[in-house]
Amino acid sequence: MTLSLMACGSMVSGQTDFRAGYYITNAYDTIHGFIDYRGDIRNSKTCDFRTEPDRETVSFKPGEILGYRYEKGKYYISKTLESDGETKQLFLEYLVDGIADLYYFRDEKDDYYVLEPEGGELEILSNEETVIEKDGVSYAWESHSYIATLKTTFGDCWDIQPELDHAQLTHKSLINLTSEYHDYVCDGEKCIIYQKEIPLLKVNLGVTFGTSSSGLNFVRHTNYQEYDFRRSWDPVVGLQLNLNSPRISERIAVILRTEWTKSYFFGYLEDPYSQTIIYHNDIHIRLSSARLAIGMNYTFPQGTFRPVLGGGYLINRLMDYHMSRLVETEAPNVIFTHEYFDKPQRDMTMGFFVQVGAQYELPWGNFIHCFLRYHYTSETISDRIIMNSYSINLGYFL
Amino acid sequence: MKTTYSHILVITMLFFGFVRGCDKENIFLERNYPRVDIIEPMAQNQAGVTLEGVFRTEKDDILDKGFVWTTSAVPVLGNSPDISLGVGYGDGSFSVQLSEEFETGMRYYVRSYAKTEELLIYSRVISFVRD
Repeated sequence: MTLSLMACGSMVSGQTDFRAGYYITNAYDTIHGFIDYRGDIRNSKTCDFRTEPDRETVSFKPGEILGYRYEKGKYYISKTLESDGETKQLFLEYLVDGIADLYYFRDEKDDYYVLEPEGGELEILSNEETVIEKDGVSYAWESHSYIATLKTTFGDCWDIQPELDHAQLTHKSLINLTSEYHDYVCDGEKCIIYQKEIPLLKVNLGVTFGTSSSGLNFVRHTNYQEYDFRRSWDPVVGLQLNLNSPRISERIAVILRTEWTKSYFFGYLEDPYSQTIIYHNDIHIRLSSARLAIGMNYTFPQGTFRPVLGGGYLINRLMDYHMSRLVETEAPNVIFTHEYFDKPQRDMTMGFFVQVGAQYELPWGNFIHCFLRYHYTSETISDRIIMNSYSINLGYFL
Repeated sequence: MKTTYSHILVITMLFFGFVRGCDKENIFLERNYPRVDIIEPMAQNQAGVTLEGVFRTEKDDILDKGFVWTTSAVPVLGNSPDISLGVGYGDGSFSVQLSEEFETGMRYYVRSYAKTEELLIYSRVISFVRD
C-alpha cells in the first residue's frame, strides 16, 4: 500500500493545492492568503502565494521573504545553509523553536535535519554511509556523525547526554531531544513545537447506496449467445473503507468496498422451427450478487466539492441465482409451455471498476460523496459471459 | 458520537427501504394469443387444494379456462382429469378449490389452460404432493 501511495503521490504532485496561510515579509509584515501545498521538496524551494484561491500566483524564493506558514500547519523560514562548500538559500521547515532550533528540509536525494544553537551557526545533522569491501564481502558503515553534532550542541546539558547515543534522524527522535534539552536548560518559557502530529493511517468508514443499470451478455455460449438481454435497473448498497496515509499523500486513498445488488434480466428469442411451428423462448434471470472492490481514489485538492477519480479490481460473487427458460411451442391449434432451469454463470467472476465523482466535507468533519461508476466482469474460460453496470452512488463517511 | 450513530441508523433504514421497494415483476411480452400461467406454490389444507391461474397478457376472446392434471405424465385435455372455469378473461386471474380430486401422498402434475376460437393454450406444468 505504501509503495502504491508513493508511486501515485509522485505522479500527481503537479496538482496545485492552495491552503489558507500567510507569509512574513522581510519588513516583518504578515500577509494572509493562500499558499500552494506541494510537498516537502517544493515547499523548501518556493512559496506560491495567492490573496484569494482564484487570484494570480506570486512566487517567493527563499530570502525574498522571512518565511511562510499554513494555518495551524507547517511553518517555513528562510535560511542560508553552507553545505559541501556551497551556499544555498532554502525555506526550512521549523520543527522546534527553543534554546536550540530544529529545522527540516528534503531534496531529491535525502531528508535533512538542521540544528541552530542559540547564537550559533546552522549545522546539518548528517549520517554518511560508506560501503567497505573486505575479502569480497561488502560492509555498510554509517558515520552517525549527527550524534557528535548533537552532543556538541547540547554539551552544556549533562542530563541529556546518555539519550543522545540513541538519537535517530527522525522527526520524533530529534523533536523530543531538542525539546527535552530546552526543558533542561531553560527555566522560563516552554519551547514551541511546530510539527503537527500527522497520523500514519487515516481510516474512514462509510455507507453507500445508489442505483445501477446492469447488462448481461452471453458473448460466447452454446445456448444463450443469440439472446439480447434487457438492462436491469438495480438498487446498490454497500460499505466502504477508505485508507489513507497523510504522511505520504493526503490525496491518494486505498479503497475497500463491498456492495450488494440484485438484478433481473429478461431475454427473448423467437426460433422458427418450421413453417407451422415457432418456439418462443423467454429467459428470466434473477440474481443477487456481492461485489468486492479493491482500488484507489485520487482526490483533487481544491474546492468545496473536491473531484475524485478512482479505479481498481473487482470480484463479483453470485449469492443467489435463479434462471428459468419458458419455451412456448406455437403449433397450428395448440400452444404448449415448458419450463427449464439452468445456471450457466459461475459463482465468482473478476473484473475492474472505474469511477469519477466528488466529495464534500460536512461542517462537523464527516463527508459525503457522489460517484458515477462503471463495473465490468467477465468469464472467459470456455464460455464468455460479460456483466457490466453503470451506477450512481451516494456515500456518507465518518 | 450520538449524532454519528443516528446518521448511520437513518441512512441504513433509508437504503434498506429503498432495496425492498425494488422487487421487479417478470416481463411477459405480448403475443397473438393469450399467455396463461399457473401460480406456485399452491395452497392446500384439509378442505382441499387451491389451484390458481393467471393470464400474463390480456385478450378478450377467452372461450374457456381451467386446470388439467395427471399423476404420471404431461397433463393434456381429453386424456387427463380437468376442471373448466368458464368463459371470459375476468380480472386476469382464476382459481378453484378442489377437495376430493387429489389422493393424499400422491404427486400430481397440473397446468392451467385457456381456449380461444382458434387455439388451446397450456401453461407450464408444476407438481405437488397432496398432504
